[in-house]
Amino acid sequence: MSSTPPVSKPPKSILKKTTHPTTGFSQLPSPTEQQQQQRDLISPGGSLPISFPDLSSLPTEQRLAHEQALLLQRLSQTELKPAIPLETIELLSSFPTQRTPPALHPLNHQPLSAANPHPDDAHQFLKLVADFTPREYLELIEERNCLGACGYVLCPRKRRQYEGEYKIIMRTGNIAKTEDLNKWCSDACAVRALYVKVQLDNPSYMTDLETGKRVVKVELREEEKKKKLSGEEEEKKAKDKDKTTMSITKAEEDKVAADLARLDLNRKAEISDKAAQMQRDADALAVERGQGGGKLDRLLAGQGVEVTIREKPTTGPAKAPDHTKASFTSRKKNPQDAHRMVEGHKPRFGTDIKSQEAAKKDGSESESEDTDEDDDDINDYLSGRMQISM
Amino acid sequence: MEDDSSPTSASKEVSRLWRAWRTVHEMVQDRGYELAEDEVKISLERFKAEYTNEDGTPNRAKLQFSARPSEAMIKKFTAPPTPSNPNPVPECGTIWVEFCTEKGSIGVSVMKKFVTHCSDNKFKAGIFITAVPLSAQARKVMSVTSQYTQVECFLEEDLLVNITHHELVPKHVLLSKEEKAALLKRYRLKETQLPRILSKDPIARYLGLKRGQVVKIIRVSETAGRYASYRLCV
Repeated sequence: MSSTPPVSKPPKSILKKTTHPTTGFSQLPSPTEQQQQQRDLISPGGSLPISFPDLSSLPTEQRLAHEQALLLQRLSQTELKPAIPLETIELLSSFPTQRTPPALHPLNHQPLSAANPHPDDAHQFLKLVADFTPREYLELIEERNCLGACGYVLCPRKRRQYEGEYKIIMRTGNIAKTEDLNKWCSDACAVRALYVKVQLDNPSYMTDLETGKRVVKVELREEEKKKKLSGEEEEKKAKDKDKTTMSITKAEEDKVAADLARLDLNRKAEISDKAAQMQRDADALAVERGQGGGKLDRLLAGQGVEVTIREKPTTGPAKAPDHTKASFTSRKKNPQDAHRMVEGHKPRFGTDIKSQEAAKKDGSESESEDTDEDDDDINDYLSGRMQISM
Repeated sequence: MEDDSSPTSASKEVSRLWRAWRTVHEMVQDRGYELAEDEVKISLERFKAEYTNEDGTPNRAKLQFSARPSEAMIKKFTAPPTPSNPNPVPECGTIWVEFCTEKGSIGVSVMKKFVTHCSDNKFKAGIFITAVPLSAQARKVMSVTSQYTQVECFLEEDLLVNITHHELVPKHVLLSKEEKAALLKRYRLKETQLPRILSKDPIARYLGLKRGQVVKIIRVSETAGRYASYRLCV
């Protein structure tokens, strides 16, 4: 503002009130203070977890290039999953390791098969396949088929070799592509392999006990139990086939409980604080937009403007500007002007002699004032110092 | 239904292979390798006599050859000498061409065998011609080993016709590094300001273009007689 208010009576502004009286630029927060304020806004705790070079000193182009590079680096670290190495694919295409038929399962001493795989093979398969994307898993099946093996990794048998393009499945009466049927040695293996694929398609995460990292939870399909049941149980089974399969033993119950405990469900429960939750949601959204996690980016921006939207407290319904009061004060000074007022403002079109004389009295001060724009005029007018200007 | 053992299907396959065999020879010759005319323009009768078994079925194991680069090609593929590198080595070497004997799908193991054969015998480039598409992982093997052996794969059915002989395909000529530098200087261009051609473009695949190479395209023009344009391989 170029006009200095009179000392005796400071002008009453109709503009939004500020906490500081506008006496000059000295009241504006210094750059360091601004940064401090920004930091306070960013992290309520006040502590910064990430340290990074101060980019604000660099020229704009360099700073932007640096920001972009940092963003890409972080995206490549967090978003892009490295491809499965060829060795892993090769290893899994030569699975199972014990192919010879007389090999027995170390625990139940049954011959090894797809339904009864060696525990070491099964463990290694599950461990390796957790890193696969669904697409890579399909590529693994393709790779096994190239070698003539069944698509299910733990199956030692060869795949089917149907002729022709299509085949009628007698069991269901459907027509299937032989290409799809020839991927497996049997329908059971197809079910087992696709059971794994479904888990990769819709992953549920759990914490790995060894490394403490979050991994995709993959497990083998439960094999249908072919236990020899006693006569009583057989009768029961005849009554309700489905329910007996659903019955859970105590040991199974414990296993389920342990698995549930490992499941990484408490990701959201950790965040009890609602504000922190909102901040995380916003950051996640920002990452999706490609702007990266909020904190770092806002700091990287350096010169970026922090926009905080504050609601203005409303006390009542909005009113039109009250001109009666203003015209009352001006009427006391020059009552002949009252009829020229429009909504409390006197248009500057035209002249009248008295005001011109008044202008001469005020001299240079009024001239400097008149360079101001409308808003100031209103202020001046309200303080009764409105002068004629052309 | 087609029967592989019937004489008609076997002769059909032989004539298909003969056409692919001729095209791949023309391709290798067009890239600048040394091949004798009678090797390239082999007749069907001679092909049948040389490359089929007694029962008339093709013998793919025999369908393989190597070729050495010509003087002109070595010159083209040698970077101009610089003070730091006064005797640059040519970027091209002997090429190995092989038809895949595998009838079924081609996986990592088959591809690895081909790549190791190329690198063991010090071939700088390898062309593998298959009857069926590669698996996704086998394709990856190709890109992984591209530093020491430039391996390319073609389908037999893509080579039945030599695309460069089509009347609508203009002549493409690969520029050497010197020529490229001269072109960029003459027109005061940066590399990126040239028009582009994809490396998976059929002609780019035919000529074995690599990223950063520039190809000169000479078209016939009604008004000017000939019109040359340049494209950068990306």
